[in-house]
Amino acid sequence: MTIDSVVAGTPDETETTIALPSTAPRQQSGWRSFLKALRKNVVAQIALGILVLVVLVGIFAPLISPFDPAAQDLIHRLKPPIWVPGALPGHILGTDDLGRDVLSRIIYGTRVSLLVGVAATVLSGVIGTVIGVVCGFYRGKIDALFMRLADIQLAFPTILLALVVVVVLAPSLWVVIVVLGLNGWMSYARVIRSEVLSLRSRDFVTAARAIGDNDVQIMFRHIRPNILAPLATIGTLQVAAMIVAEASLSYLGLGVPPTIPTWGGMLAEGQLYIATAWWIAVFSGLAIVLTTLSINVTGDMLRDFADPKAYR
Amino acid sequence: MAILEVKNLKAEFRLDTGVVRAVNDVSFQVEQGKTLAVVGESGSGKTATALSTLRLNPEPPCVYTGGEILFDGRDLLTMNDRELQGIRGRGIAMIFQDPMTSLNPVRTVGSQIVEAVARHEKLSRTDAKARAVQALREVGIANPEERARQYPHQFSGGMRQRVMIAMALACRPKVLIADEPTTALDVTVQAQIMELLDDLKHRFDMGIVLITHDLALVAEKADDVLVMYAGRPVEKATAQALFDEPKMPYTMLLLQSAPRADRPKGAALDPIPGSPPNLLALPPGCPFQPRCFLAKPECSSIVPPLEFKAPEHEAACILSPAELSAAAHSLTDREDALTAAAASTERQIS
Repeated sequence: MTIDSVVAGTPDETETTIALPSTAPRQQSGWRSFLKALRKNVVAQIALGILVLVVLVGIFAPLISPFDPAAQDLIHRLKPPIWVPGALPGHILGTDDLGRDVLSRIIYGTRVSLLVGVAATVLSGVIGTVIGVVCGFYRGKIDALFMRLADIQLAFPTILLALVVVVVLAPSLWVVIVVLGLNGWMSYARVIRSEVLSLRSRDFVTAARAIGDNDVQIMFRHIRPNILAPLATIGTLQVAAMIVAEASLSYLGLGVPPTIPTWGGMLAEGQLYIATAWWIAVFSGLAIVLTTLSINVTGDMLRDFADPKAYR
Repeated sequence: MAILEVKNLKAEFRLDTGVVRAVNDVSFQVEQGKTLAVVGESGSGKTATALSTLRLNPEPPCVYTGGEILFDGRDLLTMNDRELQGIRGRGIAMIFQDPMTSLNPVRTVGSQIVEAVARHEKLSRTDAKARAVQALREVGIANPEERARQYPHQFSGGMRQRVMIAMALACRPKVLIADEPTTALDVTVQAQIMELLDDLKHRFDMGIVLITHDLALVAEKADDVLVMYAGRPVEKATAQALFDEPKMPYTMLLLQSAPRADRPKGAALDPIPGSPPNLLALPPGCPFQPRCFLAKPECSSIVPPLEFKAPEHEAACILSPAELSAAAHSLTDREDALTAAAASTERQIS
């Protein structure tokens, strides 16, 4: 039964029905309904668990890593993980070609991956969203200009561009973040633009204009909440993509300086010894896969949750 | 004095395929506490006229090529954006055809009304919320406090239209433009919404521009009527005069085509032959001439202006008032004969 069937006709009649209890679903607080949605989704629980773990590991790296990630021990180089015969006690995931502890390096690598992934995503997200909204809303020359720019940049291999910039500017953590950030705006801009193109001609935008909203109010109050869902989806995918991109740059030796342990860098070093010491590449690769996968799964869940129309 | 006066308004859409004159020399006045109905077939320029009145048509492709829109004596066509935004909502508000799409789906109903309320007045958050709840109560929504926290998809069509009305009336506009407010709703809800609009009109002394193609609604609610065809006004009169004796062949056929309860069961509807002209390629002369049952050779060369055929009754037709009157009577006579004949056959069968 809906309110409609209770309220019969004129406002006068409805006065008497105001005391009736509403049978419409009660609004739950965001947090409680989030937990409720999470409880039904086992895969998301696992993903979110891994993600929380990864973040905690990143934050508390100095406390939990068993060894100094930079400490070399050339005598005990390329020792296998602890469950393989010939392992060195204490080095749970073995040692690399310089005798450094693989587990400790993966733990410290988490910091770089998360920092680069999140910072580059936020940077490209902000740039891309602003460009996308403005282009979609105003169309015209500004739209043509930025969309062609996006086409050009999309046609240019990202890694190549990043390589050039990093080589010219000398590798550092911040250069990597900015380069990746400036390289990722196009996907946001294009998706957001097309969303805005359809949103701007929707009736509720005309209705907002009809009660006196100006462009800025329409963009903030009516367009913005409607693009959050696609934004969350691209954003999470981007975090994962950025982590992989950072790993690729490090793999090519042009990411963050080699003194900082990174997953990509370890993958590159491990490649040389893949036949004899598989653990270096496998565990760092596993860290990349697990993290990006968890982010993607969590992002999917967030997107479903962020949509008020989704059944729950 | 009329609160809203549109004079010789012309708006055209400059498209790649040509120029569409969707609003062609339209004039009307709206007085406080009165309802003006704008009627016509789909594509006759009703909605374009309504949107033009608030300058809501996208510019480009829309260009206003002439006329005036005087609200309280000030011309909307010469205003800048900021001035326009001050008029929209507070001076003239509008509700739309489809309440399903006129609310932002991802925001609560309350937050959208709060905005409308707070738009033109400085109010604290709590005051604005109280006003929003009050606005919902005014339009007959039960449990307004709770309903304000819900999203549009949790409302039925009729309830959403009530929300739209609450939003439109939040700033107490002097004129409300209702663009087919009940088209998307079922008949019982339609009646409720129209009752509500009528009630609010009297309570707040608003002028209403009712855009519709529902002639029954016009007969019941409108004080004045403007009939449009192909972007032009073709007849303008009080509702009483128009329904008594239409002075334009198009209106005659329009009234004739409406389903009537006193017709025998199973009787075929009487549609106007042909279809509305393509606005990109208007026929020469009177745009209605190809479908007109009274068309004369001259009709395809002269575009008739709106002129008085009787006191306070204008129509755009080259025929004389006497000729028009005769045509109207012959139509109603034919109708009566048909009804009588059908009724007698029905009697014989039973």
